[in-house]
Amino acid sequence: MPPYVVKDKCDGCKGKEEPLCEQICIGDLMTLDAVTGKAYCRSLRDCWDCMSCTKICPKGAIEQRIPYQLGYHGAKLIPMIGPDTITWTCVDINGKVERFTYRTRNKK
Amino acid sequence: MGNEIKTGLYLCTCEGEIGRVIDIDSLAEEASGWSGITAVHRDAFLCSADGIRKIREDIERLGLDRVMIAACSPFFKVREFSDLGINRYLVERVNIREQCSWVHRDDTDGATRKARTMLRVFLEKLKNSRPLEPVKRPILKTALVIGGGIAGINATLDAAGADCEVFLVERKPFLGGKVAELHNYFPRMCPPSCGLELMFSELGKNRNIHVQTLSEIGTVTGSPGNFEILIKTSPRHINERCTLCGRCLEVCQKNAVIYPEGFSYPGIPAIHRALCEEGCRRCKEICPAGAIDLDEKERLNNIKAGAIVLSTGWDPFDPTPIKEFGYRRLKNVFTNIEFEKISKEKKISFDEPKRTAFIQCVGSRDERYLPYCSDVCCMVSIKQALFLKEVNRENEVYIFHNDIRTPGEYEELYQKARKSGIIFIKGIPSELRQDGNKKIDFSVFDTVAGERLDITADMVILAVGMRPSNGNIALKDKIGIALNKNDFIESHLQCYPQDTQREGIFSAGSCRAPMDVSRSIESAGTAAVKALKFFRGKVEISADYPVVNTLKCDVCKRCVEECPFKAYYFDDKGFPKPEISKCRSCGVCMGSCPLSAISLGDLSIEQLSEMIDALDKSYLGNDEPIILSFLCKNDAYRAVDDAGIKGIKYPPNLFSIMVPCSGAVNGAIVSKAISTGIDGVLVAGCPDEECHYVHGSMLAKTRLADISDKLKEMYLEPERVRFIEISRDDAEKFTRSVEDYAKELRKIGRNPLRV
Amino acid sequence: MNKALPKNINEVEEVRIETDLLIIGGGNSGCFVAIEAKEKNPDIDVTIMEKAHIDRSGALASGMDAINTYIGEGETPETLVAWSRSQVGGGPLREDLALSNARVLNECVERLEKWGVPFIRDEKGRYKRRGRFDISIRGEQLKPIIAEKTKSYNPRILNRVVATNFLKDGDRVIGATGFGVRDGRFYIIKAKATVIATGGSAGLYRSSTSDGTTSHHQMWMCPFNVGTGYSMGIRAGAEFTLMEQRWCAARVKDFTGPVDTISVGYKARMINSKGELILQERYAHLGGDKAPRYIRANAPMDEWREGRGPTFIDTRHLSPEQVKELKMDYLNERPTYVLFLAARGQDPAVEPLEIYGSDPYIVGGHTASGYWVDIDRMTTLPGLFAAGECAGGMPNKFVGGCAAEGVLAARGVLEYISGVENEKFDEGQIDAEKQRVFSPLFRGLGMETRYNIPAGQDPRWQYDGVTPEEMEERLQRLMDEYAGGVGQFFRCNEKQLNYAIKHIGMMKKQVDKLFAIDLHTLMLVHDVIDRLDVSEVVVMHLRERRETRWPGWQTRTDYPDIDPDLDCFINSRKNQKTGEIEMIKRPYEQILPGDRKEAQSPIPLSAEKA
Repeated sequence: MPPYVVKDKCDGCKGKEEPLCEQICIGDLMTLDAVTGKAYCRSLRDCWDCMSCTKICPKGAIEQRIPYQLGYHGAKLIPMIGPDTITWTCVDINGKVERFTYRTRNKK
Repeated sequence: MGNEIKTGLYLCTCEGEIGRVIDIDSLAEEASGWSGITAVHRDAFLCSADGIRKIREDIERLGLDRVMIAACSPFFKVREFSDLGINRYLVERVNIREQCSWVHRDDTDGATRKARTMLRVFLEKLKNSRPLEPVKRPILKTALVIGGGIAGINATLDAAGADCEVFLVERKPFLGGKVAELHNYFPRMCPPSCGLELMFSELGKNRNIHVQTLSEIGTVTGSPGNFEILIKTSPRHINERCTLCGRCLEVCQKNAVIYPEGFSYPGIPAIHRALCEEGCRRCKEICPAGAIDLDEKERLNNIKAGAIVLSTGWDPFDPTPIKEFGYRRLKNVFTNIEFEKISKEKKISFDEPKRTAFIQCVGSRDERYLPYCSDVCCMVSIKQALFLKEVNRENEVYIFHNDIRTPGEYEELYQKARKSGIIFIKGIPSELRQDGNKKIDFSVFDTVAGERLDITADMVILAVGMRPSNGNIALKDKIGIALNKNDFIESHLQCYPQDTQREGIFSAGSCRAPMDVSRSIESAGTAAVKALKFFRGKVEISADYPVVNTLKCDVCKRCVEECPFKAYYFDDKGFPKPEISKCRSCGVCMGSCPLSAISLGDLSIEQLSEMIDALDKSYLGNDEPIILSFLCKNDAYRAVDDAGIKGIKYPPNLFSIMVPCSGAVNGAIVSKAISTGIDGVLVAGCPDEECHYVHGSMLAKTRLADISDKLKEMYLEPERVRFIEISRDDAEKFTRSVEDYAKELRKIGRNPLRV
Repeated sequence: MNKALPKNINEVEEVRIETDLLIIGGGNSGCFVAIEAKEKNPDIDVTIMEKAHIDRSGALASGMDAINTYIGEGETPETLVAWSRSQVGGGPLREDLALSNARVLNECVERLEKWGVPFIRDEKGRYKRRGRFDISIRGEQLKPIIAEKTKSYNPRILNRVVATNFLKDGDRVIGATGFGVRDGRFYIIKAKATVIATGGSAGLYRSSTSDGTTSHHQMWMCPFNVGTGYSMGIRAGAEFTLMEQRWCAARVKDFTGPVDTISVGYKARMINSKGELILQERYAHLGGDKAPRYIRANAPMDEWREGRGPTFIDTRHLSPEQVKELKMDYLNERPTYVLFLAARGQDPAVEPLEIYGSDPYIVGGHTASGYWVDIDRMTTLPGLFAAGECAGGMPNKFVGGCAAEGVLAARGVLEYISGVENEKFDEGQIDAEKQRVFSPLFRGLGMETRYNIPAGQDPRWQYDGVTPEEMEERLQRLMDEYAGGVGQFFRCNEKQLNYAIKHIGMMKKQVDKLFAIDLHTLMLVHDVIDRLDVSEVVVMHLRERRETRWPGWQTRTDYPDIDPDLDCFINSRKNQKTGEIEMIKRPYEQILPGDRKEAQSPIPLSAEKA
C-alpha cells in the first residue's frame, strides 16, 4: 500500500542524514531524495501499510492510500498524534467523515 | 509521585480585588475534597507578612510538599513569594487576578468556573513537578582576546591590569592592527607610535599577559566560564636571539623578511616562507646570532579561558567595483588608507602645489555595498586635508560629500578645516576621467549651489568605508557567534553593546560596528569590565533546562537544527543533549521534537499533556467555546496581565498557560488539545523580529500552519489553531483578538471531538 | 541516506563486537529476551541485531488490538493449553513447552499494561475479554512502548542490520554475521549465547491480493519477516519441526487483514452466497463457530471451490456503536482496514464483509512450525536459543505467548552462559560469508554494457542477471500453484510437491545470478535467498506428511484422511556434510489427559509438575 509524500509539506526533516520516515519504515522503503532533500517511497509495491511513517511525520506530509486494485480513489485516513492520544479521521469515497479519538498510553 | 502529593492551596481574595468577583469560599470548599490537596487556606492579603508566615508554618506543620498560590500574576509579589521554605519549582502561582477576576468582573459565574478550572489544571501540573536546583559552575578567571589591534591591546591591558590572566592572539606577525599603519590619528594628530609604544611596553612588562602572534584560533569547545580554545601558530622562523642587525633583510632577494618598524611588537622580524626562493638559505647562513630556523613548523596549543573578547577589527572597503571612480585603472586615485601611507612615508612631493579632491562615502551609505555610515571617513578626510594644507599652504583641497558628520568636539576640526580654506561641496562626482596626462577630470553637481562644476584635479582620494574583517565570518563558524546583516558582531546595540549573543563572549572595537580609535579604546575598556564582572560570579544555570528522553529520541536532529543558540551537541551515545551553559531554556527544542521526547525541567510534555486532560472543556457549559492559549512569558503573558491591570475585559472562554516562548509549544500538545475537545488553540508570541529566542515565533507559526493544514484535511476548521503576534504593549490587541476569536468559534460551532 | 557503496569486497568495512547475549530480531519476543536477561543480570552484555528500527519493527509495527492469550478468571494454564491443543486438531504439539509458557504468560502480559499500554477493562475492573482467552487493548503504541522499556536497560542496539548466518564452532553457535542496510558494513558478532527471534516467514506464497504494481505486499503478516531466522537455522543444520503446519486463515477479502477481531470480538458468523451459516451447517460436528482454526480457514475456500462463493462474515447485526468500536480495534492493529472500507464506501452494518483465504505463512507463534527446542528454548545447536515465532512445537502463542517465550529463552540463556567462554572464530568461515553476502553488489561492476541503459543509471544495472523481485515472484507463483497456495484452495499432491522441489532447486542454482544495485536491493536479494531455503523445507515437510491432518493448513488431495501412524512430529535437518534435507519423525507426548480434540477444562496439573 503506497504512502505518498506531499512535496510542499515535507522538509526532509531539515535535510539531516535520515528523515524520521526513513528511520522508522520497517521495510527500508522511505528514503531521502538527494536532489530535492525530500522523502519518497522507493518501492510503492513493497509497502505493508503499517502507517508508521504517516504517524511519525512531524509535518503531516505523508498520506496513505489503498491501491486502486483493491479500493476506489478518494478515501482518506489521517492520524493526528498527541503525546498519549491519537485522533483518526476517515473520509470515505462518498465524503462521509468518521472520527476516532482514544488514549494510546496510560497516564503515568 | 502521582496523586500522593500534599498540596497546600492558598486562595487570596486580595482585599476584594479577587473575592468580589470569584466565589473563593465555594472554591475553597470544593478544592478541599480534591485528591492531592492537603490544606486550603483563604486570606485577604496573602502577600502580607502574616500570609507568608502562614504558608511557611503550614509547610512545616503539615509536611506540605507542594504549594499552590491562587492570587495575583506570578510577575507580582515575586519577592514576597520567593522564599517559602520549599523548592521554588514546587510552588505554582495561579493567576486568578490579572487573568481572571479583573478581566471577567462582569461575569462572576464565568470567572468562578474558570478559576476552578485553573486550580484543577495547575494542580495537575504540580502533581508532576520536581524540585530542581540550579547548576553552578566555577568560572576560570582567564580571558582570551582575539585580535591584537588597538581594541584588543587595550582590552588586554585593562583586564590584565585588574589582575586577570590574559591571552592575546593576533593573526599577523605584529600587534597594532590598522592603527599601526596610520600616519596619525585625530583629534590630536599624534602619530600612532606614541600611543602604541607605551601600550607595547606595558604589554611586555605585565606577567599576566601572554601574546601569541601569527596565531589563529582553531576549534572552540567548552562553555562560558570554561572555554577551551585551540590555537594554531604559524612559524616566525626567527627567534628572540635576533639582534635586528638587518643582514637577513639585505641578503633576501624575494622580500620575504618582514621587518618590524621602530615600535613594533614583538620587535623580531618574521620570514614569509611562501615568498622564499626554493632552496635558498642565505639568511640563515648569514645570521650572526643563529636566530633563524627555516624549518620551524606550525605549532598547536590549547588555551583555557573563562571569557573571550573578540576584537577582530575591520578591513577597508575595496572600491574597485565602483567603476566610475576608476580605482586601480586611473593614476593618482588613491584610497584614504593608501593616503595614510603616502603621507606617513612622504612618498609624494608637495613642493609644487596640487589640487586634491576627496570623495566621501565611497561604498558607505550605499545599498549595493555598505548600507551603513562608516563613521570615521569624514574625520579622516578632514585630517588628511588639513595635512595637505599643512605641508603646502598653496595646496587646493576639495571635499565632495553627501553630508559631513563631525559629532561632538570633532566639530572643532571641521571649523578649522573650513578656515584653512578647504572647500566642502555637497555632491558626489559622477565619473572620473583621465586623458593622457596624469590629471583627473570630473564634473559634479553642487546640490547647494545648484550648479554643475567641472574640475581637474591632480589627485583624488576615495574615502572608503569600513567593513568587518573576514575574521568575523570565521568566528561565526568557530564560536557560533551571531553576526548582523552586515556581518558585524550582533549585539543589543543599545543596552548591551559589548555582549555578544553568547554568554561569556564580549566584543570590542570595529568588529562590532565602525568606530574610530578613541571609541575603540573606550569599547575595549567596557568589554574588559564586562569580562571582569563575569569573572566575579559563578555560571549559574537555570534549573529548568530541557532534558531529552533518550528512550523516545530517534535522533532526527530537528532540535539540534532549531535550537536558536546552537546549544545542542551529541552525547557519547549519539543522542542530542543541550550544553546547559549555552541553553537559555526557551523550550524551542521541546516544541520542535516530533516524538515529544524533550521536556523543560519545569514544564514537561507530560505535564502539559495532563493539564490538557484536567482541563474541563465544558467549564462554561456545552455551548461555549473554550480557547486554550499558550502565552509567551516575555511579552504576551505580560501584555495579557496588562489587560487586567488596565481593566480591559475579555470573555472567560480564554484559558491561558504560560510558556517560555511560543516556539516551545509542541505540535503534539496542540493536537492533543484539539483531540480532546478544545475549540480553539491560540498561541501568542512576539513578532518575528522581536522574538527573544531568535526564531521561536517563526517556528511556532510554521508548526501551527502545518496543524492548520492537517485540520483542513481532517474536515475540521483550520481556524481552530491560530498564531497571534503580541508585543509587550498589545493588551488591547490581544483582548480584541480573543473576543473576535470567541465569536468566530461560536459561529464555527463546537469542536466535534469534544465528548 | 546511504553511504557511498563499496566497489569491491575489500572496501567493505567490518565491525566486530563481542557480547554475552546476541538477540537477532528486536520485535516483541526479542525485546522481552533483552528485558528479562537484563532484569535478572544487569551486568550481562546484550546486543540486539535488528533489520529495521526497534521502535516499530516486526509484526507489531502498526500496533495490536488484542492480546489473544491471557488466562483470565476461571481459567488455568492447563485449560489454555487444552484449548490450544484443540485448536490444532489435537496436535501434535509440545505440551511441555505450552505449559511452561502458560505459567509465565500472565505476568508478561501484565507488564505491558504497567509500561503504559492501555488495556480495556470491564465494569468490574477486570480485563475486558472478547474471547475465551482474548483480551482487548489499545495497542497503537504497543511496539514503541516495548522498545522504550528495552532501551531503558541500555542494550547495544544495532538497527538496520540484517542477519545473514550463524557463526559456528562445530555444532555450537558462537555468534552471527549481518550486514548494515544503511552503513554497508559487515557485522561480526561473537556471543556466548544467541537467541533467534526474527519472527515468521511471509511471502513464500503469492497472496490473492498480490499485484506487481502497488499492492504486492497487501498481506496479513509483516512481509519483511521473510523467515531469515528459519533459513539461518536450516543452513546451520538445526532441527525444525512441523514446517508443514502452515498458517492459512480466513481474512478480509482483497485486504488480507485479520478477521478474528470481527468474528471473535463481535460474534459475526461466516455465511456463503446463499446466506447459509457455513460453520454451523457444514462443520457442526467439528465445533461450529468453535471449530479448530484450520477448519475456519479452510471453510470459506471450500465454499468457493464448491461454487458457493463469495463468502462473508455477517456483520449486519452490529449496532453503529459496535461498528465504531470495531473500526477502533482495526485502527490499533491494521489502520488501513478502515481506509479500505472507506475506499469501498462500505458500512459493515449494512453489507457483510467478504472473506477469503490468506496466503500461507510459516509463523511458529500461530501454528507450531519452527526450531525444535528443549524446555529451556535451546535449539539442537548448543548456544542457539529460539524465541517467539521462531520457536516451534507450540502453537497459539500470539503476542502474549511470544513475549513469554522471550522471557523463557532469556532464562535458558542465563543458565547456559554461566559456564561458557567466547570461542575463537574460524576466519575462513567469516571470509566466505562476507563474500556470499556482498558479492551480489559487485556483479554488475566492471562489465561490458550489454543493454541500452539511460545515462546516469547505476552501472550495476548492466548485469545480465536476475533481480530479487523477479525471483521472489517466481517463487511465490511456484509455491502457490504447486505447494498448496490459496490459488489452489490450499491443496496439493505428491506430484505437485515434487515439481515444486525440482524448481526450487533450479532457482537455488541461480542465486548467483541475483544482483543488487544498492544496499536496499542487497537486502531483497538475501530476503529471497532466505525464502528459498525456507520454502524448500516447507515443501519437503508437506511431502513427508502423507495424510490430511489439518485441512487448509495442510491438505493432501492424494491422502485425504488422517493417518494414525503420522500422529507425530515431522522434523527435518540439513545434513551439514551432504547438504541434503533429512526427515525425522519424533513421537508426540501427551501430558494433559483427556480428549485432545476437546477444549473443555481438564484437571489442573499445576503442583506435581513444578
